[in-house]
Amino acid sequence: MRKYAAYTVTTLKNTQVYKFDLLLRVINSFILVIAFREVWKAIYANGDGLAVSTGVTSQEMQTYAMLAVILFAIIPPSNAYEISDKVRDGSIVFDMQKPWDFQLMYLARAAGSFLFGILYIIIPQIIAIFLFFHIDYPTGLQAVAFVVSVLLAFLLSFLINFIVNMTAILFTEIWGIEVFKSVVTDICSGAMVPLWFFPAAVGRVLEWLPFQGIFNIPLSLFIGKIAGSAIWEQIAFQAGWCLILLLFSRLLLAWIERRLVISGG
Amino acid sequence: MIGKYIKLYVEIQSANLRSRMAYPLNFVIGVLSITFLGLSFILVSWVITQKVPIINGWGTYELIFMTSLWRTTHGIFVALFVQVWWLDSLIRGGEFDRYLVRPLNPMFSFATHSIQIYGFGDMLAGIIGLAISMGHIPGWTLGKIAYLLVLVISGAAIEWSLQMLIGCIVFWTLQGGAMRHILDLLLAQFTRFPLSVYNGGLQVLLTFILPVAFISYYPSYFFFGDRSSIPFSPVLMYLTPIVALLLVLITYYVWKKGLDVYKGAGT
Repeated sequence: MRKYAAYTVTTLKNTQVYKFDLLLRVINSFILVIAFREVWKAIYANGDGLAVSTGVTSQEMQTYAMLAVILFAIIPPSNAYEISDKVRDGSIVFDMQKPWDFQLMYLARAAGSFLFGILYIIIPQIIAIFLFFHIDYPTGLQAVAFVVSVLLAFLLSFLINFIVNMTAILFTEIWGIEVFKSVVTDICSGAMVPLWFFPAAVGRVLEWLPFQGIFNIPLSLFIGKIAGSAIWEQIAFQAGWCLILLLFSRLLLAWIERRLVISGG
Repeated sequence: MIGKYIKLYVEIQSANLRSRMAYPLNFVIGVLSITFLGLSFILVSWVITQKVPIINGWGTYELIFMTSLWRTTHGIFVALFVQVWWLDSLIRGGEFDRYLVRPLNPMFSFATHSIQIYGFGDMLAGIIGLAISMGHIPGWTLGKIAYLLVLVISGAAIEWSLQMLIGCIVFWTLQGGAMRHILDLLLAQFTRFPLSVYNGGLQVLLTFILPVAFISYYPSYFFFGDRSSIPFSPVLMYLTPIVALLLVLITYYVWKKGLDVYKGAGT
């Protein structure tokens, strides 16, 4: 376990080096926070009875939109390009032969950037939001559920990322698939538009996909859209998808490792 | 003189294009994934207006028109001038000096650096969006379509100028390319909803300081029936070509100054 923790810490330190990039990331993200808030404020001002029909007030929707921007910081950066480079020059074999688990190694790295995101992007921005805008925050059980849900959201986005990265090993050119993945995630997770805003039939389909576990569930917990016994159902939904994707990624990894050995002779 | 430059430009860029198309499958997947990205923004506008049909006076097709107009101009910028994004690394790597020693205008040489196929994905998404929305906006004439073409070119020129002005910082500081990420964000975010949804500070910024709103927001009003909600002055809706021309002249001047200051990255 210690070697993975060390790798997490190293990733955290490496990411901290680029101070100017970090500053720009925070500025970028804060411009988006303001923009998203004002867009949703305007949408609510133009929509009659929206608060009644959706069950979410303008205030809550603004909170949802601002936190959605910030929550992007938990999504691990893509390693697809790096993996496809390693496949091209063959060094991927060494990564797979090292005395550690290939997937855990990437998880340790993703955890490093997750910690970085929390320390340097999420916490400062949450403080800024509390200073500038009025927002209601969850307390007690609801707050605990939110934290658990964010951790599961991180795990879910890591697993989806990992599965897409594995396709880099199969088709060395992965740029298009990578763009495709982020568009599907942005739309289906509720990051751009919450699930209850979609036409009912579309919303029902999206509710069964794993993507909503990344944004829609944690953010709905934060604003209290999910409450009572639904909290446990939704967290179980996230955990269930994590398990399914974990099993799938292990099978995929095992299959790829076998294939690599065969083609290596 | 100009004829020679045009001929040369077409020849170099078609050679660049052929080299980019050497792998047809990658070419197609690359272009289609960017088209998909562009269409996803249209989808978001559509989903929102299913619940709220009119946002600050703008309906579904007006929103799609505005965002598609930007997509199209952005596609032209990306396809032909995306090398602006790499100006700082070209200078730090010493590659830029190549353009200075050629017997051609350095601006021209730099413009022929590459052709970026992903721009075609943006253009495709933009043209699809324009076609969908134009069918729902009444009163099209040949004159209006010709003016739309002028606006597309002007919009691309405005984006090019803004990106170049930020890129030119590198002549003085040898770094600073990262600033463009903020410009990219402003361009992508503030061309999707009417400017009037944002606060006064942002409206001033995007109209008078970084005139992003002239790319697609103000000129879109020219084609719409209801023009009552234009911020500042209704005159702004006619100004896009003039803003573009002014910015291009300023950019060329700054570029010339930058080249004078620039002494090369090495010793």
